[in-house]
Amino acid sequence: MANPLANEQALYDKIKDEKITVPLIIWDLMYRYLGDEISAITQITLSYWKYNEPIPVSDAKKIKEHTKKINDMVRKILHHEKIMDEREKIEELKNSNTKLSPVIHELFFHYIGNDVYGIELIVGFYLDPSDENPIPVEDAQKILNKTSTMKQFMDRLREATQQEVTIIGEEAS
Amino acid sequence: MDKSRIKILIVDDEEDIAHFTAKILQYDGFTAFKAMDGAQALAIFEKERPQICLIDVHLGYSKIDGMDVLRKIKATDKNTECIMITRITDKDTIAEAKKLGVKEYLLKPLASEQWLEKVHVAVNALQGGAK
Repeated sequence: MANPLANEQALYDKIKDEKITVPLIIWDLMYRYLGDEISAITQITLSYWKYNEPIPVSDAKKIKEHTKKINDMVRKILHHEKIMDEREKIEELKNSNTKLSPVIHELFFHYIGNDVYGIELIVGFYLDPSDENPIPVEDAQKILNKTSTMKQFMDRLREATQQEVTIIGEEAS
Repeated sequence: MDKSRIKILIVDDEEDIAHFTAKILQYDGFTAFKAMDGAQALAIFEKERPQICLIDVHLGYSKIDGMDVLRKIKATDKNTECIMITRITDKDTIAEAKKLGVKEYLLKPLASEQWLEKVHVAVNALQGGAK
């Protein structure tokens, strides 16, 4: 998992003290696209890890594709002003002049960016074109740890920037 | 209850999520079906009558979204245990799903085996109802 930032608590305190929020449209993008890609990596990995089996090369390649999509989406969320994309939400984001707080930017890049990079490294190691190999169970465990960390980060960020979202569970209960 | 007699339908427009979730459930002993859009989900529901459905609220470009699937399933058989897979921004749909009798929710991204625990809760609810 990504190592905690040295100033992590200070960043979360700043979010709380300054009531920094994440625009709803960015939450929507995060959960719509990142949510699907992270979930797909989890389910592929879990379907082998749970039964103590290595991930075959064919499915390791699927994980690699999902990490590419996450990277692409992270880039779009963090630098949406620079992108061209036909997807409706991206257009909406581009047109909204929405700015992501630098604090959120730092946390988001650190946690999602590093964990996706970590998964890419693991998968890339076993998908070396000259010698492709299944991903062993112990490294599948590392991939699951990273998807869990990404979810934990999103949950913690959601709690820290609570204004629009924390009421949902209570309203549903 | 023999696990293989419990039919579970997974509805998710992301193919890898639907496929590998079904695979895990099959390994776990359940009979699992997958659907990638609303029409396919309803067709499988009509044919197989699964007792448990995991339904993603957002089915991409499907003409029938996850909430439509839930409404039709509940209108056909209100005892079907449905677990909705949602995003945090879905508060209105979550409220409606609750009114339709949905007790369990999963927030994407799915991580670890938390989702499987929810399935087991639904299985226990079925078994409780069967007593």
